[in-house]
Amino acid sequence: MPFFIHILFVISNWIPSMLSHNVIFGKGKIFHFGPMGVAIISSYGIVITLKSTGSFALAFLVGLVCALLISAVFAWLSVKLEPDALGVITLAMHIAILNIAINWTSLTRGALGIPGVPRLSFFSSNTTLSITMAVVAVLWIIFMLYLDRSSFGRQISALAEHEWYAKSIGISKIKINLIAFFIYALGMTIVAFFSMQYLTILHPNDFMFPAFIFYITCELAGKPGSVLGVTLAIVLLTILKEGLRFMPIPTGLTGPLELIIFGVILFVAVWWRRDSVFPNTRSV
Amino acid sequence: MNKLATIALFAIILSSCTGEPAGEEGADSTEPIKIGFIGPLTGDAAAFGSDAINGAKIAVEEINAEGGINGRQISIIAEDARCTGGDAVSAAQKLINIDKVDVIAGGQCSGETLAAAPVAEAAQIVIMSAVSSSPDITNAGDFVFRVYPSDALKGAALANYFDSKGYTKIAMISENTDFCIGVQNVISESTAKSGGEMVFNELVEPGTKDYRSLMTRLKDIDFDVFLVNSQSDSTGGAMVQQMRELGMENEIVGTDTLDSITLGQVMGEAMEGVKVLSVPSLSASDPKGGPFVQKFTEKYGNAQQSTFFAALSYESIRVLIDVMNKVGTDGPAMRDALYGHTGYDSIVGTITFDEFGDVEGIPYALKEFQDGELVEVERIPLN
Repeated sequence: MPFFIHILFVISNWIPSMLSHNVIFGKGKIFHFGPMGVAIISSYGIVITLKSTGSFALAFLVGLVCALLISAVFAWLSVKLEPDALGVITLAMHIAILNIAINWTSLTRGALGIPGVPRLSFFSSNTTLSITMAVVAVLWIIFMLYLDRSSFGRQISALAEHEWYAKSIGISKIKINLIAFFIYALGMTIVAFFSMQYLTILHPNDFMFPAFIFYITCELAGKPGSVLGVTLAIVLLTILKEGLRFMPIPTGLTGPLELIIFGVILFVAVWWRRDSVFPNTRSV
Repeated sequence: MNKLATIALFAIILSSCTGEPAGEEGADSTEPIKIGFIGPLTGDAAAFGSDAINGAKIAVEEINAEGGINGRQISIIAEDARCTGGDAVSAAQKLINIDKVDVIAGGQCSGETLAAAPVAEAAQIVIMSAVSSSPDITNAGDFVFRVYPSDALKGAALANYFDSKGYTKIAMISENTDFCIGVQNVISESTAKSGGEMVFNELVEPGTKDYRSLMTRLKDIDFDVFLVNSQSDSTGGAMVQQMRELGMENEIVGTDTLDSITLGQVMGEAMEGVKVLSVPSLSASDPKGGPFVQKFTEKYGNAQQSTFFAALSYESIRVLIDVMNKVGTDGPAMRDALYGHTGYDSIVGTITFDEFGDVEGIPYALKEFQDGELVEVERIPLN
């Protein structure tokens, strides 16, 4: 049972951030490849504040403000740059932010990470933490579904389908992009707030490219822009990833073989959705 | 959605591929004792993860050949944690709650150990790391042990050595990894305490091979000794070679990662006279460690990172088995027995655990490259 509680936490913990990124990347067709950059800033903001003040509310607030600030920069870039340039610069920003986190050792302890992250007393057991995270994830899915059908959802879709036409009918790209990036900032802060308490250690190794690749894979496999599709992909791919640990693989081959099998499956998943990777401009 | 359903089916099939149903082992004394292993089996740190799992496998094979523990065979279940905390938690959760392991050997990266520790602590399962060196592990929990000396001790040992030689101006280049940062911190603190000065203290990205710009700057600085704080022998070897290329003849001291079997032969003249502060070496001719080295080489070829890492992993399993022989597999009983476990004679030294679960009795040795071989020249006191 505790393992399934753990899987429940892992799945629920992916949902708010990944569905929010899906609004930007999947629905808005904005090549934001720097979600891990936001994750780093938000996580370090939370943990450093928490360790120095002991206030969970203040830590969440600082994490959120940090995430909103960097998201505002990303949103501004998304308006100023062409999609391919945005993809490159957001990737570069992820690396830059990671480098700052690793090299600003007086603040972040660099490559050592920050162990001993405290937990709210309410979350003393993993079960409570996981169930709370699951409830938050369900509420986030409902919020995403609402957003999908809202005026905002229609406007971001319109911008993705035909930007010039959308602007001509009064849709503000900067406003819509800001909202989309701010939603991601909020989702990511919630995720960081829970995951740091769950892991009890903040380590830069957890923000490397494999985490971002998992984002993109789930969004592509689940159908970019689809709330329920991406949710299902998160559930299935997480179960698949963890399920590979149960394959009867000889001890000496455990790591590499799991990685190869998972890589092949991800490739197939992305191949299925290859047509939806790049935005299709609607002709009028 | 139909395609996703196919993935779902595949995931369910995979999830059902468990070796045996969880929770069915325990009362039956003929069931094998399960040891979980957590380490980086893929990714940048896979080299020492590979050495560690191979060392552990040799220990398990030997014990099984000797009849196991009270007639029970031992099985080892390895999980890849990729040197990340998130994967280490998943691995620990699976090992403890699904495989129902009796004890965990791991993690190997300090980040793995620190992340898996609370999970093991909550389940009251002993977790023993073979090669985690971060000082943070000292306070990671009651059930957390390690057979690798803390970097805090390494700093003290190096400071003692520098002090004995009268070195006060220290130059150092460190790779930006948790291991090297741990060493950098303790060296900086120890140097300051002993009245020395870090006259050159640079940090580089992991895996950096070109140090010529830094070495050019270093050449203009007055220093007594250069400390190679690298994550691997290849990067450390590059530092040494490029320093020598510029004609700097100052003494060079490296840490464990320069304790490499092949470095003296590959880098040739550049390594001559370079000193290494590490745990004592193991070689095929060593009376205690020789048989292990021979067996390891026959089975797995040369170690990917260090035979000593494999030996530490081997001995960590042997210590756990020794304790299980005495008190069985109950977690709290094993924990208590490990705290009282003194003077275990191993191929890597005499293993005793202090009140924090840190190892005592693994000595440091100063070695020197002489004619391409790494020769032990003296033991460095830790206090």
